[in-house]
Amino acid sequence: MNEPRDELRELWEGGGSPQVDIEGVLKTMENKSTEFERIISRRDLREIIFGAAGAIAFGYLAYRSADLLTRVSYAWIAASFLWIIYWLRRNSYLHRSPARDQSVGAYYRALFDSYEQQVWLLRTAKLWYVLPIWSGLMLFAFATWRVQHNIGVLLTLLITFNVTFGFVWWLNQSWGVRYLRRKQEELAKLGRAGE
Amino acid sequence: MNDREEFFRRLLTGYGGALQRLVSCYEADAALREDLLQEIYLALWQAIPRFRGDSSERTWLYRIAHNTAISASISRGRRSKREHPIGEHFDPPSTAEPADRRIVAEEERRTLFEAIRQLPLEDRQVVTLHLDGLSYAEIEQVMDVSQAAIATRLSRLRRRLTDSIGVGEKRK
Repeated sequence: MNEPRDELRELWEGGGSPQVDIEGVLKTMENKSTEFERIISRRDLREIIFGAAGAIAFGYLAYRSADLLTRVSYAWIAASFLWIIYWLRRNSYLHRSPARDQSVGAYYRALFDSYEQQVWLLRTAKLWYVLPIWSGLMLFAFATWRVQHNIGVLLTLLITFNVTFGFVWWLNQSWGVRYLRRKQEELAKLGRAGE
Repeated sequence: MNDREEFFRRLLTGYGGALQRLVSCYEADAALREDLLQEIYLALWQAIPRFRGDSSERTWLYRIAHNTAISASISRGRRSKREHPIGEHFDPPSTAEPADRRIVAEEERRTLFEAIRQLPLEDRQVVTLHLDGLSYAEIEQVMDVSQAAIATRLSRLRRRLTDSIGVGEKRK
């Protein structure tokens, strides 16, 4: 079914098969592979440590707090950290690259879909990430005002929390989503390159 | 030596040249080509434990190589796509060939790779697999494109490549 050996193919193979330093490549692969696995496990560990540290710190503050509403707000924030870790672990597959041993067509589609799933993760960040912690902090600001009766402190807390979480929300919704959409577009363009 | 290492050695021995030609169809710049080659080696090394022999070793290798190249192209933002082929390097052809013919052949080879790099992604993949001697059935397994579509596409691509490099004409 294939065409017989031709000039185009002779030209293609004309350079011959260059020597590959197999020992050198093997050594590099073993090192790189270990390094790659280390990076992945470090990233996973970092997420858990960050969440656990937040939960422990705010859990401790809740335990030590005398005022009921302040205690509830700390406990709420501690629970939010645990919820975020749970959510990230549950959806961690969304960050994984598609398997490369599938057919090129299937890989291309899977890569496109994985960008779509990551966009979904960022778009919903306002619900699973921003909202739980933000609502706990709002409760904390109100509890602080109730104890101290200081409108200045209340305003400072409200502005700080809203600006910070507004920025996080913008990072996810705007910058993050735009970045992923650009990657998706590059992938689509790659398929059309040269046309 | 363990099985993984043994298998990897066999892949490099059998397909080292093919992988070098493949990366030349994605990257014009020598340093980027070397980076891509390293990425492909790493992807193969990591995929070996999952290889169950459901497809042939050859189609499995080409799937991983092309998929890694797609991924790398996106990561690099296609910055190298239309770069001038600085550092384009091919291995010295046989010295048995007369010098003038060798120069012409090398120039034609350079032009062929440049012409392939200008093709849309799918066309580029089909043509490189074909030139590496894969059958239509094997190309179908690698690409997930029907054999009829491959045949049509190849006849158009071969004409286009032959025209762009003028194979044969310069030698007449």
